[in-house]
Amino acid sequence: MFRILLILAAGILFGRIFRNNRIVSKSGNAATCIIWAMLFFLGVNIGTNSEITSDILNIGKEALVLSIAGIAGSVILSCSAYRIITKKKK
Amino acid sequence: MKGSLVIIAVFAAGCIAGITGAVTPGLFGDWGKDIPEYLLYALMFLVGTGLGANKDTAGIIKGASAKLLILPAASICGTLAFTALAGMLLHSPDREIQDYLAIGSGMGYYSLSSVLITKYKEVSIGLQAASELGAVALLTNIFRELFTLAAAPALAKKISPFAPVASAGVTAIDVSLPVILKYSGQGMLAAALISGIVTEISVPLLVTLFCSI
Repeated sequence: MFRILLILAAGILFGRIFRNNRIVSKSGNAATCIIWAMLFFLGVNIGTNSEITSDILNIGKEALVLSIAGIAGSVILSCSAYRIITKKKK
Repeated sequence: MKGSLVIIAVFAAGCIAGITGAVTPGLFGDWGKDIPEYLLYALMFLVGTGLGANKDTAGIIKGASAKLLILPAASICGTLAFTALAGMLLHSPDREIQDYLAIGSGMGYYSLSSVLITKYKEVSIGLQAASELGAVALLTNIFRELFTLAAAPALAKKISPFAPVASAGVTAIDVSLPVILKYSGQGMLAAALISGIVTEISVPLLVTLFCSI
């Protein structure tokens, strides 16, 4: 995690120094392409994982239900908290 | 919408390429399996560059308050409660409630949570069952990242600007950060970083806890 934050900080410094450079304004597009590449390789790792592909229907169904529930719980509770916090600020 | 479809399509293409053997991690030699890690570093640098070029960034970070710590705590509690509830409704004979709590504790950190679950559970339930549980944890937490990337525009617009951060879990600090900043606004930077850091610290602690009880 600290390596990630360090690289993020290095990027911020780089962006700060070169903020008037036209290439810097394209960083968002480049980030999107990298996310695509990461997702592709994530898919490759899943596709080559025989533990998962041999029983994909059962594992996939269970994982889908659990992830939707987890996301819903997280969003409901923390967005309620966010509403309370931001209201108090005003 | 177009962006969301591309995200699902790219992931699906990767799965198909992996299943058919068209692309394997070994294709690029020994460092093939490290490609996602290097891509992540490049991504973080680019996200940083975008933030550095924005003149509001310093003010946003200075505006962070300790109250923001409540948000990841609420996010973790909500995830655990709902994952356990859904697990009980699934009513699988092989699972116990702490298995679901361990899977939920992954908070989108699929690599770490699946490895930890497989490792810790092997002693108590055997390698076969532990690997299966690890595979469920892996996929559950990958779906979480995939959903966040694909649904961030709708979550930010329809529910709350914080919703993509909540959905992202651990990935609010890395993979999901660009979409959070894009759709919830740069003002969400401090909340996203704090949420990402707190949940990331919680993952090994909670997964270990729920695997050992």
